[in-house]
Amino acid sequence: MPSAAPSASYLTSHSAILAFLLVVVGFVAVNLVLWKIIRPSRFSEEKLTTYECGENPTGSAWIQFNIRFYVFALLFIIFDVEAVFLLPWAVVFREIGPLAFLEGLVFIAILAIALAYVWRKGDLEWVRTEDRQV
Amino acid sequence: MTPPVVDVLPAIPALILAVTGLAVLLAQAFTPRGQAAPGAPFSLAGLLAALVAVYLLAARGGGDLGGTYVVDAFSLYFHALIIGVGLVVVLLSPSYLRATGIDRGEYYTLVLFSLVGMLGLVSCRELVSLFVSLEVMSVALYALAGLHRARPESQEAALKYFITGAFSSGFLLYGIALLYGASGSTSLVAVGAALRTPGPATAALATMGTGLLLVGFGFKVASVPFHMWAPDVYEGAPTTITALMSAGVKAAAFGALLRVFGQALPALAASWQPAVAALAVVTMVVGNLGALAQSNLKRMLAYSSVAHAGYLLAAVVAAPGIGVEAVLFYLVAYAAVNLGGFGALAALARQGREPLSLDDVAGLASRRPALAAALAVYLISLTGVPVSAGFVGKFFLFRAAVNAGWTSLAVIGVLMSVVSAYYYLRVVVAMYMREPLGEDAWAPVPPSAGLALGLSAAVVLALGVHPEPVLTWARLAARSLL
Amino acid sequence: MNALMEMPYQVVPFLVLALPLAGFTVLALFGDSIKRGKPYETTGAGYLACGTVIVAFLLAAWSVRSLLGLGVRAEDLRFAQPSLGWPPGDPERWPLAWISVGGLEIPFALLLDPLSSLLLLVVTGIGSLIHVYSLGYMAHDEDRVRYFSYLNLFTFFMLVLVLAGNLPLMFVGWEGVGLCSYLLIGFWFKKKSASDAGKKAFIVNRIGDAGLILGMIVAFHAFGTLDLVDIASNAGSLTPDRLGQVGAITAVCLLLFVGAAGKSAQIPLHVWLPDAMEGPTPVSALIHAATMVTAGVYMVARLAPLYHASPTASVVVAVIGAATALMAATIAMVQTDIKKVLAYSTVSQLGFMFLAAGSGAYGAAVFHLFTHAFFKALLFLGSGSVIHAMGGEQDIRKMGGLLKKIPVTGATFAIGTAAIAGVPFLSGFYSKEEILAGTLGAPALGPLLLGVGLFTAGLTAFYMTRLFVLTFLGRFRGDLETEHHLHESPMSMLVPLCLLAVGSIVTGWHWLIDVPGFLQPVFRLPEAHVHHVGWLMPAAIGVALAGIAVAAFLYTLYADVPARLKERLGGVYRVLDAKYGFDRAYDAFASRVVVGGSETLLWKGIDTSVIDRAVNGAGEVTAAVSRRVRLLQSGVVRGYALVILMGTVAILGYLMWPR
Repeated sequence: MPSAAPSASYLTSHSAILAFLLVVVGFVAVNLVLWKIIRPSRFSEEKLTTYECGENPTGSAWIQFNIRFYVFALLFIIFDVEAVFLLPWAVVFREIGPLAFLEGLVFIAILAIALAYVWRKGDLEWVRTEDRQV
Repeated sequence: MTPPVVDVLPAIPALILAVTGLAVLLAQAFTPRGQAAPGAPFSLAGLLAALVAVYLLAARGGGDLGGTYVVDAFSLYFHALIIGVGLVVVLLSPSYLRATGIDRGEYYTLVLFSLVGMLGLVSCRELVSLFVSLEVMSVALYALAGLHRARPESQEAALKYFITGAFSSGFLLYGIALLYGASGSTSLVAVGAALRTPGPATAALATMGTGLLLVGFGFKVASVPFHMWAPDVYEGAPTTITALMSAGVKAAAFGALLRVFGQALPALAASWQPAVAALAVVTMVVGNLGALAQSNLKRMLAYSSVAHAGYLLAAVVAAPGIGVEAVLFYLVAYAAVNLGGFGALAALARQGREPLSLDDVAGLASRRPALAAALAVYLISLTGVPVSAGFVGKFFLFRAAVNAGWTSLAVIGVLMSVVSAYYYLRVVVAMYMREPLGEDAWAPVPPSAGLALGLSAAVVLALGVHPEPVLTWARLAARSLL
Repeated sequence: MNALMEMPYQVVPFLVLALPLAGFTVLALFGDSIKRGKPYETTGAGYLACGTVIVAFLLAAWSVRSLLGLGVRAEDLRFAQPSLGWPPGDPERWPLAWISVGGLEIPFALLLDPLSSLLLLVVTGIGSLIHVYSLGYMAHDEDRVRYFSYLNLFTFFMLVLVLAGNLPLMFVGWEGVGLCSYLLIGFWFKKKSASDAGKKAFIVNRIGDAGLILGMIVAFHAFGTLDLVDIASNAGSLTPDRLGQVGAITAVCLLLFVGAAGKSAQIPLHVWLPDAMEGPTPVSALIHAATMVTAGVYMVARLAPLYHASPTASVVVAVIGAATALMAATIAMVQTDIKKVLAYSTVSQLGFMFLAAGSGAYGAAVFHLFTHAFFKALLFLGSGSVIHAMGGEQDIRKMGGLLKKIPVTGATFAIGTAAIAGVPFLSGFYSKEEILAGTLGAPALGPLLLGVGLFTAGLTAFYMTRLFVLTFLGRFRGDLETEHHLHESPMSMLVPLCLLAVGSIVTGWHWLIDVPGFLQPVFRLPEAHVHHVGWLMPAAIGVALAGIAVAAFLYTLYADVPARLKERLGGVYRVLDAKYGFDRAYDAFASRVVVGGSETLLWKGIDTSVIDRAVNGAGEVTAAVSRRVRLLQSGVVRGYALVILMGTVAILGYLMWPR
């Protein structure tokens, strides 16, 4: 972490990144244009169908997904993020000591409360208990 | 590395609210479906406990949590204001939620979480935690705005608020990044110190960062041209949440604005003051002229909220001096008035029907004399008529602008206040001088809402007659910022 | 002095103030539901109103007693300031600054000294009696809850006026009692004459108030303070060679006297008081005899050192007082309405008080204020009892012989008549004698003032005796139906009458209560220069007895003489009956000059063609712009984001613009 205010040379030293970006974008652009020019273009209905690992595609991709996927995706992200936070925490755990343990505990407890809430709401089951009863 | 000793005490009020929010959440989860958990009493208890904690903190002289979260007189002032806003909102809520059929325990959790965010917003002395607080507040509000799932307007409000909010958060975050780039720190004090001796490259970075911060805060306080979400969101959100947004969010955002611009960016005042002044002018003009054309009361109050952001910005221009105490005082007056105004509309809601147009409140004075009187008090205070808090507040705001050499701002503000009398007093006229249309469609005012409204009206009148105590606190708070 | 001893000053005045206000608040907020409720609720409302004033009286008596016990001198007049915090009265903590603008600091301060405590006792004491009397008098009025709420509000404002420690606070009470007076005169607002009288009182008082406000402004400019004690002590230290300041003092005194003349019905602002008799009779007793109308006298006495420092202003006050006393007494001689006679008598007696104040006999003025409060309240309440018995009839030509029918009322009325006429050993005799003696101390015109005073005293005895004789003696001149219904009033009305009768006798006994001596330290003047002349007392007794005798003979034995006199002196009689033409002149001025001028010049010339057009034009432009602004709000969220972006670009463009 630079403690003093960065100088102008600090900014110019990043020009390498700009060069890198230009190379990346240029590579893709050049290739796309090149293939467009040299490839033969003979389309058939088979060729235009969606590629689904060899299976015959059924229906359009524009269908409504079950809203449950959304809840699961959210839950997945929450615990994903938990892991992301816990990793650096584990690295400095020894240095900080008991306080770190306490803070980690609070962090996990809050997530646990969220989990408990989701569980009680029945969102962990694909078919919710209340819906089944109806 | 020795384990850091952290004094957690300054965060106790926020912690109390957060824990209460979690408790309400769990209570709702373990309540049988179809029933509501006792969210309101829980929240009231939590808020009162937090208020006591604030008092004890004040008696202790504040505190500092690792340099990032500081409880000085400034934060204590806002703590008291925000928790007070929370109390009134929670008092208003139960009857409104029942009347509109959205009585869910999560409502209170989200309200409490947003309050936690507001507390953080006014207390953080570090830009990243400030941003986190802002998001804690905002995310809860996005959800609250869309709580009324059966009303398309509510969905529209949530979505528009979220999209534009995320957009402007991006600007804010980018501004923080640029300030970090310019100063090498995210601590307000360190940024302020670094900017006092800027190099040629850092000056440009810092100025740009300042501009972007102004955009981010401008969005939260609903300043023109970042205000366009406000009418739609204020109209669509549940009315109690609108009250929370107009009173609480505005106060917290102005608190953060004052702290950041006062502690980190005074060195750049010469460049941001004209920009803020320009914002103040367009905000006052567009807000008042927009309100003039509205027939929907919630939209009218939304534009009025925009207009008042303009008045407040006029004093922010004078921020390093007496402007701060003027803004602090006016925020209290304004919070009381808006809680009352939106609260009165909420208290009249019955079976999903809310009074939204002038016709809906016609002849209110003959059917609900006390409520009509209270609403009249709020509207008169918004206009800025003497013996109301609004008058005293506006007086101090404009005096601050004049003393700082921005007389033109005060002149525009006064002219626009005259314009505002038209649309505020139109409501009073409808309530008192027209006959009620049809049968009595309004709900009887529930006791808790009556208490909340009476409290707000009392604050409005008390501050109008005798502003000294709050003014003294505001002065102390303003001084602690320097 | 320990904290308990301090209590009365610091807390009790506020309690005394708070009680009637609380009574008013309750009655005003719940008045409608009480009115619709059970009969006992309405009765309870009356008891509540009485209770607050009676308790206020007891508290006031307690605090005044402690004041006496402490032997307070003028040097340590006590201010009570409200303070939050504990212990009560610690002025260091949260003093309630009431107004604080620029160099003007006005605390919400109350002043409790001998003068204000005397008035405090009068207002709460006589106020209590009149509240109780009202229970009986208003028992059959369906709006009596409203009546009692106004009465309580009046008591509150009167106490603010009396206890105020500075002019602005006094002005609050001043305006408040004016408002209550307006409300109560027009209490029976369905009667046109009543609502007209209310408006008249209000408008005439506005003229006086303008003077009062100007006086306050000049006073602040001249003295830099509006505190009553500060003004009074400053005035005493001024020397005549500082001409500018003496001029300012005269200006302040005269301007404030305009206000006093409005409130206390002095020439030329006296015209509202006789009309004010349209209100309920207890109101006439409380507001238009005992308390509110004496506020002007109180203010002049309160600023005694100031008036003392300006001989010019003092002479003006004395002359106006004497002229008013004489004029009102002559009018009273020909009135036939029982309450109108008493109204003009009040105007006349107030003139006496100003005569005393203008002559430098401030103690005598307040002394007369004090005794007058008792006997005039007694007379008004007695007339109320008569009207009650007569079924609403007020014309004394239709009365007569009532003494036998309503003996208690008659006897107490006789005491009141004797007291005001100046019969020895009754209160009015002592206070009037004190005034007459004081006139010789006037800065100028002393002998003339004394002569007018003596003559008016004789007239007073005459018209009061005429009133008593026509009402209570002789034979009944009304119709049989009324005679049949004649009845004595209920106890709630008779008890106050009897108590006031006792007061009308004893309040003048200086071996019992030495009012001028008690008040002396307040005025901060050198020992009062009362010129006791040996022949004065016999002369005063003489004119009083002469007046009584002439009236008694004329209206009992030679009953045809008054009619003949009326024919012979037709011109004089018409002038008196027209009340010297004040009302007609004012009407002519108002309808020709004011209404005509404002209609053609101000309304059509300026208002409609210039101001309205400008205001409407500005409004139309604003509305047109507003309609355009509304169109910006499309509702499309992309548009919102675009505007945010444009705003950002504008701000950054401004900030980054190379300078």
